[in-house]
Amino acid sequence: MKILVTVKRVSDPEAKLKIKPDGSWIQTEGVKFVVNPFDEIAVEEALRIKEKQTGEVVVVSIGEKVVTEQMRAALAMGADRGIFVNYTGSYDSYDVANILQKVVEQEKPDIIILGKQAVDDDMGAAGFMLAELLGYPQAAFASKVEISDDKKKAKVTREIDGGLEVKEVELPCVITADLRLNTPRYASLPNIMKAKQKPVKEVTVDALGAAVKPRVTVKKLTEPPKRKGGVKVESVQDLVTKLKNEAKVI
Amino acid sequence: MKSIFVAIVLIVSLSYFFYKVITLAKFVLLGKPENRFDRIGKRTWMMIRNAIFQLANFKRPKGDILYAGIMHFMIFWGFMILLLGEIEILAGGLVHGFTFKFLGYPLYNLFIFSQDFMAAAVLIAILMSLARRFIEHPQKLNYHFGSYLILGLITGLMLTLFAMNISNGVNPDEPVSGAVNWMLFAGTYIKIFHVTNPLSPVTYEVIWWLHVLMLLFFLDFIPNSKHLHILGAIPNNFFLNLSEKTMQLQPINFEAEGVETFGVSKFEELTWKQLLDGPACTECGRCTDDCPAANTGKILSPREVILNIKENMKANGPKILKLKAGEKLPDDQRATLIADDAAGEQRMAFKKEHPKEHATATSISPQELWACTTCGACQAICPVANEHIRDIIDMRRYLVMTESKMPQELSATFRNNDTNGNPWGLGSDARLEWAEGLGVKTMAEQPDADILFWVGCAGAYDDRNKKIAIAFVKLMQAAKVKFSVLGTEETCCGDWVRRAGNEYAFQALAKQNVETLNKYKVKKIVTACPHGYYTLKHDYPEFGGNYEVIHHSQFISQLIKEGRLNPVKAMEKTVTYHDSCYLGRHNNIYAEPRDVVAAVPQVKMVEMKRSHKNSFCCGAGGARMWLEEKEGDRINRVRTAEALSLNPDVIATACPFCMTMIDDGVKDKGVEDNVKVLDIAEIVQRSL
Repeated sequence: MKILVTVKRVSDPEAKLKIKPDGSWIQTEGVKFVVNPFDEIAVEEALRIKEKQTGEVVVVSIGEKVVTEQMRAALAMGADRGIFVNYTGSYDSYDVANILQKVVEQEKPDIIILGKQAVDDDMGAAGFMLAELLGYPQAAFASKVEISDDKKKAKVTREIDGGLEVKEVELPCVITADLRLNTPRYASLPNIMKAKQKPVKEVTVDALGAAVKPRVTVKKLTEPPKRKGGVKVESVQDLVTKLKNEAKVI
Repeated sequence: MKSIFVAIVLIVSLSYFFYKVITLAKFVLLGKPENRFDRIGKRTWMMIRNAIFQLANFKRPKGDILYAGIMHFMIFWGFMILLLGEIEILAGGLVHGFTFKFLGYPLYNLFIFSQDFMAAAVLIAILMSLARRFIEHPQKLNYHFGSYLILGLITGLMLTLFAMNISNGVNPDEPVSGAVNWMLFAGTYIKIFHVTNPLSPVTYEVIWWLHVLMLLFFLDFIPNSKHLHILGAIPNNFFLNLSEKTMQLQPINFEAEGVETFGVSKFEELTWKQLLDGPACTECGRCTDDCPAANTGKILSPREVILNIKENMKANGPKILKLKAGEKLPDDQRATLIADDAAGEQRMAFKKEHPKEHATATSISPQELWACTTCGACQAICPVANEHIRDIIDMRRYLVMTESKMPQELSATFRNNDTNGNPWGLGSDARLEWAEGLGVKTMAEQPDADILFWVGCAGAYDDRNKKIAIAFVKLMQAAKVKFSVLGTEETCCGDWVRRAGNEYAFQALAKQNVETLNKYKVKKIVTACPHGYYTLKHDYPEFGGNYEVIHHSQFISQLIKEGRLNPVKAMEKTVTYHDSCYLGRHNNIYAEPRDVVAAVPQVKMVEMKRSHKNSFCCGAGGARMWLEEKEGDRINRVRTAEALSLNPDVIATACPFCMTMIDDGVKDKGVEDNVKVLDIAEIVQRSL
């Protein structure tokens, strides 16, 4: 069983981000970058499937050379090899889906697992678009994945509002990973060392034959307004007066 | 004729004994090298003090330990002295009529006296031991058949010795008869019971042979039983850890070529000293009796860690010796040292049904390894200088680094720490936010500070512990101390990372911090965290970081003594101080935190039953802070209950982890309105 997993390089979600003076993007100096947490969950799930079924886990990343750092992290977790799509320009979710479509056509994986969204822009669109472009069935926001014994179907549990939905999809399919799908493993030291030797194939968008024409562009980023400090009230009476007169909520 | 028989029996039993002992020694020497040959004078003295004077048995001379210590003293010295008599007996068997009489009469009389006296002492000790086993029945003992066999053999040896002495005393042909008055006990027996005739030669011979055969059987039983400690304990007290560094973790060179596994998963990956701990173990059970994990229903038993390593060594040793000699073996099967999770689950199920038992096996399960808080209670009480903690950490290293097998909450914490340099996983750029508005300067702003305040992750990120950092800063400001902090240049010191077995991540953190500290030429560091204190003081020198590190309890105590801090406001409260393991047992700091609290006027200090060296862990050390505690009782609840039994107004701590655990314990009990958990710095600050 061959599983393709996407890995996106994102700024550390705990980091305090600053916006560039022109508002075009965040300042990246001094910011730590990590594997998108949902992609980490996707890699972990792919590894667990592989460990049960045998097969191969291929990770794919798009971007500048630095994204291979995050790809190595996924290889250190246990993925077998990487495909690095070298692309420096800007792109949107649809471009990502286009590029991934070409990779899928070359690799012909049985399952494609993506994080349900990247934590930097929170778009969460590439997975749906990819399934659509490929004409594959999809199961998004997976919290549990079971592969059938004949390896032809996947039973996917999804967390939906107020309950769980269990879906069955035929392989090949696209799955996006939700938070509670698993807890990603901590890479072992021999695997970290081995990851340095694992093959990473570098390809260009042109070589893949994918068209990148961003339909969505970022116009401006602004910081959220600073929270104003609260006031401590002396008594319940004070609070009621303030709620009545100042907040005008009662 | 008799001489030939005696010679044969002697040769057979001694050959067996030495074969067994040499084989065991070879197993031990399969271990990795470790230098325990420095300071020979001090080592010799410690061996004499601990083993020969038996002081190691009186580390906490109270109750059962005092009783057992006295008992053991009598047996130990009994055997040392009776050994001379046994030589005389055996030599007499080989050479008819041999005695020590040639020593001359005053000396021989003394010899006779000593043999009779010590035999009685040993018998009394045996009675004490039987009373202990059957009446007191301490839980910490192993009630193996072997133990009773040994007690039976010793009793038999002493009774046959008495029988021979009494008979010889009234036998004019025997040299002893002239010295019958020197035999206090046998002589009294002769007088009271008017013994006049010696035993018939046949009966005497039977008793003689019984005695000799029991003695030699005992000798051969030694290498197969816990009595191996007779051979292991004395050298182990010579090779004991003399350093202030209580956890002698072996550094790992990650740059070494061709190394594919890290940590210990095979007995021969331990050092020879670690392997000598098993043969030294007396199975007295004091380690397990004091262990916070074992005391709260976990399957961890430090004694079984040591014993199971020994059993694994005995199971695999012959094969490894053959392999080393170049022999080809049909298979490479061996008994695993670290069992799998399923085995741990089984042991946990067994423990639920047999709460008092600890299973001896050839392996240690991950659940046992992860239960350790590294509090050091086991090592502190061990009479034979065993070092349990590093065995556990060595095996954790294997699980974490080589196998990446660990409780999942720990892997999440490692990830947090790798990215943001703190176990909470909060942004590394938020490290100085706690100090907002306090006027705290960083080392970059004030490089000529007299002292660096190492805030630590808890002080910087944990809401409750931030208040302690603030209180301590206010104290230093009140005392006009010129201090700086590292701010965002500080990162996790790596204490819990190292204790959790992630040596690779620890070394990266240590190197980074040492580089930062050396960049500012830091000489003196104060910290409110005993874990940071231990790591900076004892671990960083391995990485070129040599600083004078003091704990805030020492610093505040000094500031009060110098008159730079004056706690004047009275606090009419009952305060009990909870010793942090890393401050107390691991660093011997007991007085200063108490002095600091006692400096506040009108404070009434009360001590918990388990305090100072005998303190009971809060449950958070050794990375336990980041692990869920599902098995048995929660350690922090047990400790908090102990503190609350004194009806205190305040429980004082001097460690951020203790603070969290005891604070949680107090909240669990729902008594947080009546009992406050305060750091010693907060107590003093309230009194200024």
